[in-house]
Amino acid sequence: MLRTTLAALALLGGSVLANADESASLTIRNHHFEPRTISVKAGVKVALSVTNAGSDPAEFESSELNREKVIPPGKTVTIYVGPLQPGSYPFFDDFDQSATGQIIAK
Amino acid sequence: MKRSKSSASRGLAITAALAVFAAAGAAHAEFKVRYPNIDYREVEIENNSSVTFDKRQNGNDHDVSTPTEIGVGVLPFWFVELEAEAAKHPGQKTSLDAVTFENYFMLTELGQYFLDFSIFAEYSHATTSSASDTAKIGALLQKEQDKFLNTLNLYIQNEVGAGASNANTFQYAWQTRYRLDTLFQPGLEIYGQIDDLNHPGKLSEQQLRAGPMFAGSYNLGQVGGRGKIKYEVGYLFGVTDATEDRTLRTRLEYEVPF
Repeated sequence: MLRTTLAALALLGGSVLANADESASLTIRNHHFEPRTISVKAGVKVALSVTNAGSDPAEFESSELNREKVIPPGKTVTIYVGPLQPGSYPFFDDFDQSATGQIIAK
Repeated sequence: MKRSKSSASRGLAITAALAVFAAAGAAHAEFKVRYPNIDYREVEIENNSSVTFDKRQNGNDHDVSTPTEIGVGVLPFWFVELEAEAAKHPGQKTSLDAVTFENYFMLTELGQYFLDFSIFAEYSHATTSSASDTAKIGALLQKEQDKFLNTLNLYIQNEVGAGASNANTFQYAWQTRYRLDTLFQPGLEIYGQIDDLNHPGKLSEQQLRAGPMFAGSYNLGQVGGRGKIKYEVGYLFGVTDATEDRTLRTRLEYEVPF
């Protein structure tokens, strides 16, 4: 039963992703996000690949995007956001809040 | 290769935990919606409190429950919590009712698929002789639509050990909230329970309560601190005869990444 449910969810999710996926990359280096601004299409789901190139843990956090994710040093995580309404969505590193950036959905 | 190794370790952890719960089972209804997202490398300290109000002379007025728990995201897909539940039942002194070990297994990343999905499993050890240990397993589902966050919890709970009943208790909770602002997010929620799925009885015999809630969080980094404080407050109205007239619930949490 559980397996059937998971398979159904995966299929459903897969079809959604196939129709509306966009990817973007972000690197945290020397306590800064690179790039600091990412532009994406509004109305589509975005797979945001975030790499922590530093030697300290970092946490990608955005209340506007309803996302928070700790990224250990040297690791990459994928954070799924959207579909987003047109606008600006700021994010920051919760370990070092001077590190900020934004996603702009157009 | 990396992916299959990760999948294997996730499968092993889930199988091991579920085996423990399969071997085990009634607990107190906890008025708390659980979210499927896991905060890896975060420590959380949380208090949930509830108090019932009932004008009827049925011994359900001012039933107080105050579970306090500490949890940690040990793996990207696995979060564990240890809970101590203090309670003050009407006419009785405050007592430690249960110690509970909870597990969250996140099967999908937030927003990855149409629904976010986690498995929840807990074993609760009753510390009073009048109650049995319980095991609970359930599904935590969530769907984000723009600024609306919809969460559904579905659980099956069984008593275990000497004197345990054969009842399969079904519990459910629903919450929809609007992410108006970080500090204030209003919503509605429902909590229900069927004591025994084999003998569900009439709706009026089942527990069902619904009402408004609001939640919010504050990042202590804004004032030079570390971590985040989260809160929730809900006021629930009994919908059926078997439910207390009103229930006030609160949730206060401090979480900090490491």
